Amino acid sequence: MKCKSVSSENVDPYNAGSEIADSLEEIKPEVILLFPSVHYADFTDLYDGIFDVLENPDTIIFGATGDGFYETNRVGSRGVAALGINSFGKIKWTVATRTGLGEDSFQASRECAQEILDKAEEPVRLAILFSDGLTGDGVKVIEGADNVIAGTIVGGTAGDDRKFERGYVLANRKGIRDAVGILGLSGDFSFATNSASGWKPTGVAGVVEEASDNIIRQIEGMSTIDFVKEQLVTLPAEAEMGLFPLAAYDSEGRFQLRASMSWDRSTGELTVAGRVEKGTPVRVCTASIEDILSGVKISLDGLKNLDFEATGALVISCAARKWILGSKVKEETERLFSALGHKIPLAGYPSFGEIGPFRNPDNTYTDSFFHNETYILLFIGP
Amino acid sequence: MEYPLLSTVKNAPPGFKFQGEIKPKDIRRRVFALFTDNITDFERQYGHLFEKIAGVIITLEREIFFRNKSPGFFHLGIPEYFMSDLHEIVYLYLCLVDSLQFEKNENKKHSIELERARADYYALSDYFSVLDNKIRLEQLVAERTAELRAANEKLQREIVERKKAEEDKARLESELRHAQKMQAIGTLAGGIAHHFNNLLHAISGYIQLLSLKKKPEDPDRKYLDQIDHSVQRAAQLVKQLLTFSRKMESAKRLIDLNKEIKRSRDLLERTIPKMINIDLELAEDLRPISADATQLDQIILNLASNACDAMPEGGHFLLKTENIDLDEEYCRHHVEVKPGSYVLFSISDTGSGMDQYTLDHIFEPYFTAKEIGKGTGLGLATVFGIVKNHGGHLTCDSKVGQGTTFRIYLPAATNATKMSKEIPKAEVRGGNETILLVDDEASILEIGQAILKQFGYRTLTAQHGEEALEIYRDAKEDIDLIILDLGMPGMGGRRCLGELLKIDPNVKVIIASGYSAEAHARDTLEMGAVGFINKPYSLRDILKKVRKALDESA
Repeated sequence: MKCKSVSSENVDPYNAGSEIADSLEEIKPEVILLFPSVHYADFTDLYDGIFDVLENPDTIIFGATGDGFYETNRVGSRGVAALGINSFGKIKWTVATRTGLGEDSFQASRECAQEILDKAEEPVRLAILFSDGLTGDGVKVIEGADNVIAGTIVGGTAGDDRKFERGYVLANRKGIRDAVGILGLSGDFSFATNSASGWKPTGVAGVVEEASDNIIRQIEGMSTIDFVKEQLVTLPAEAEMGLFPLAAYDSEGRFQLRASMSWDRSTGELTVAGRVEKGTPVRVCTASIEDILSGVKISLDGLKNLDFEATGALVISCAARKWILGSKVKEETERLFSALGHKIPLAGYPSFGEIGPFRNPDNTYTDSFFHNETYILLFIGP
Repeated sequence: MEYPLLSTVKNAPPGFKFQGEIKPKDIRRRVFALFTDNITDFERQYGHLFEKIAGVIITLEREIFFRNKSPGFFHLGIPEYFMSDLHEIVYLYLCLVDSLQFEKNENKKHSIELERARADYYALSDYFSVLDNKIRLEQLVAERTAELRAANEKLQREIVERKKAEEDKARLESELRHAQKMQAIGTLAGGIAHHFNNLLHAISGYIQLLSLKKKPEDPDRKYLDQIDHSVQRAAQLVKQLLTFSRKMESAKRLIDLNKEIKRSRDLLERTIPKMINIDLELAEDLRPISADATQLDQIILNLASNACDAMPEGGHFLLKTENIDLDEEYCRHHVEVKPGSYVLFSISDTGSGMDQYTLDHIFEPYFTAKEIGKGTGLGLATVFGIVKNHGGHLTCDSKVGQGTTFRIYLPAATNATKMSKEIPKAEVRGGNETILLVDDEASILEIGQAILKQFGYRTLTAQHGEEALEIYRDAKEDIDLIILDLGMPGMGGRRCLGELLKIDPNVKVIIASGYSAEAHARDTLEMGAVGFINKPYSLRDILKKVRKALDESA
């Protein structure tokens, strides 16, 4: 298997596309995972640039917009990153997309996953999933796909450079809004993935007593804001709430972060970036900059004793981590390579929600969850 | 800057690379020029890309035209006789397109970054929306307010600086475009003059041949003299065009500009209307300049003529000189100006002045604001060419009803300049050697043959470089000298000379060209030619050069 990563900050979509393809052409990629800035929309010229250079018109291009990109040698806010993969026919790739996420996220995702299964001639061992983070319910998207696909699901939701207006899934030579897209991988290959954030729960746990979708109204008999204030002693400013997400626990004792998006001062309700069911135990989390950066190491530590050598890596890291880390955001990638001991081809994007499982000590995986403020790492190899 | 120069025509112009099939990726990533003989095919195949490509498509046309196909893509129609200058003409347009593309991308980048900064700013301002924790909030407010104030002040400073930089940039770009346009027009004018020179050369030659056959008392002699007189006038016009296009040699020597002005004033006082006062304000200790006195007179006369037309009721015509030093800062704001010591020569009138449109075009050849029949449209173009040929720089300020001032900056001489020498006339002699004449103009070949035959020489002719090479390969032992035109279609004279020298390093070649600039002569002599002659050449000139070349190299 051969992988190669590349990025371009050229603002002209055609030139950016052809720069990317010029670099990747040498490995004759079967698939290109592509993470462009939203300013390239509608992406026609970007695709034209790529396919005017690539010799294989059947090359699959799959990706999403977020808030910039990560690449082996660069973290950018404007431009495009790509990871080209050539498995020499070992991996069977299938692609499907569905729109209508805003109407019914679960159904759209389930139908999309079903199409993947229908197309794939062998079991789908890994599914890379991207969905619109501004119209869809991330939890429902995961549930819909998980309902059909038995393999591991890794991915993220799409955004638009902090504008909160539209997110695009890139597939079938289009940029699609209000959509979910899945890239199914079957055949003879290896992969490993893990999720971690670096945030630490603090204070006592409280059970959510009243909630609908992603609005948490009451915890332990008090308004959500009062519950948070009691744990932190002093209430942070609303905009600082990104630093204090809630940890939502599952029955196995693991948690997924839920970042604050807004709150209603009159009612004390808190709106978070992901569904939280009634009865879910939650705790307030805190983190320093160093804690957030340590999420990379924690994620990598869960990937020890691999029985293959990683050829390429996909990174989905929350856009809020990028905003909080500011100029230190490039340290995420630097720390990854430092802990790994060497660089490998890597691409990914700052997402508006992350999707991935935790890796168990016995090298099996939990179900995939919808996370906030989390760093998800996927290694792929022969 | 290197640009892809493509051609779909098998016999591609010099510098252009033939490509049978043009692919989108060949033309969508870089500013390019494409020479094709079929624009319709190109438009059918690639018309949908016009908004996305940048460059120039060139086709062979009967006359010059220039069409915008899209913001970054142009169609240039060029007659065949410009082919030898095609590379130079196209390069100017490519530079212009390239700078427009660069600007477009930079604007897009700034717009994306501005949008991003705005999103970050709104996120930051959310810090101020919470009122719960007053102590924390006040502290935050104080910190953020100070940060924002500092950021705002910095932003304001940047805005002012950027606005100024943008204004400077816009002005410079406008000057650059103007300079490029003048250079392009100069190239075209030079090409036209070259073409006319060939025609005049033929006419002049025939007149001389006919005159030789006529006795002084022959009644036809007076008609021939009249034709010759008209040819000389036409040659003067061509000379003006060549001056504008900076292809005319000038005899520069050390000059005291003040003295030249005083001498011109004496002439002007006798020729311009009495109700116009001529005033002089001449600086003492004015720096000497290296200039062609005749051409300086030409500047003064041309500007005086315009001033007279602008002041039909009378007024003041002021000639002023002063020393001036142009520094780096000045040169940053003016295209094609080098820092250094200059003499500033200002010529002002109190006449009717000009509007902005006229001001933008006054230096272009054949542009005139005068009534039909009053102006040739070459006066200011000639002034422009002379000033540029002297390494100078000129500006013009004018407002309707408020008069006009031309400011001419001429570089001060730093050391003694060689005086031009007169070349004594040599005796005209013929010979019996064999001479190969190479020129694409049939009339020039004919006249050349006639002159040389009359003086005993044997002649062979070729109409292009390729044919010349073929003849020379077959009969090089018999050919004693080659007279080679520089500006021919196909491989052109320069390449032909190179190939001839490869066949025989001792080949004797005289280069003939309508461009009389010294550099041309120097270049070709350095390449290995034994002599250089300007076209149109006189019977005496060509015979003298031929004999000299044959005798010296024998």
